[in-house]
Amino acid sequence: MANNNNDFISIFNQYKLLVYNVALNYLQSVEDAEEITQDVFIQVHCSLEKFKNNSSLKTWIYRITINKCLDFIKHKNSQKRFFIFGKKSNSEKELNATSDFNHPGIVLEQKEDAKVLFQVINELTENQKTAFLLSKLDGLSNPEISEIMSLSISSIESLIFRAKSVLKEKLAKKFENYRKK
Amino acid sequence: MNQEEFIEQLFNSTIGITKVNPSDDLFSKIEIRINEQKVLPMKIILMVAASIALLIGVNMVLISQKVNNTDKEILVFAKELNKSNQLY
Repeated sequence: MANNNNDFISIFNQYKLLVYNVALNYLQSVEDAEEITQDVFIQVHCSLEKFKNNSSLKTWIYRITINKCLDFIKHKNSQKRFFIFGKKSNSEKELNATSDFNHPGIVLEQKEDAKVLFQVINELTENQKTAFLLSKLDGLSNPEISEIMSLSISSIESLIFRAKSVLKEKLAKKFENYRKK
Repeated sequence: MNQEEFIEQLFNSTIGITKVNPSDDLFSKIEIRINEQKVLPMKIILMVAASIALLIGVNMVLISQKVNNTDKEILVFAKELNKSNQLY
């Protein structure tokens, strides 16, 4: 039991930054990221004994974090829909795109630009967003992302390529608005 | 600034991003929630036991009331039979 607890503490210390920052990039809210970090480590604590070394601990923790974030977003969106009297939006994207997030890890001069980029990232599909964030912000390689997402490397390459194309299209529209101002 | 430069500038806005530290009391919050989870099953077990006891109790009361009512009905019927001493 004490050994288990020591294992858990060392896992927490080793992965707290990873979990918190993935959640922060995903949810774009400091409070939500803290909540998800708590949820992730509680699940790690509960499932640690069941963890089979089929994948690395890091991959396992990444998967838990991403799944928790996706569940959180779905739950939040369903609440928003309920709030607007059950009116279903045309897409999840519309609801997500209202982000006004100031990432605390981004340098001051780039905060405004990053805010626009994060807004547009929210308009990507789940898989595109996951692949893009893990690649661009976490700096993971395509094989690492493919292990986390349980997809082939070529699928990951395609997701990242597609994500970049979509982002460019969306940012081009933002440029039109920027130019009008 | 043209469109390509604008897009490139936004794309590059995350360059130099640093990892953010969670709050210092995060671990203690997690510990509290883990301990709460350990206490919760005992509470649930007690609540389920109390619910079953209540259900059994209510059922017993209802059955005993019904048995009493049936006894009374038989008694009334028997008294009526004795009055006339006739079967039909």
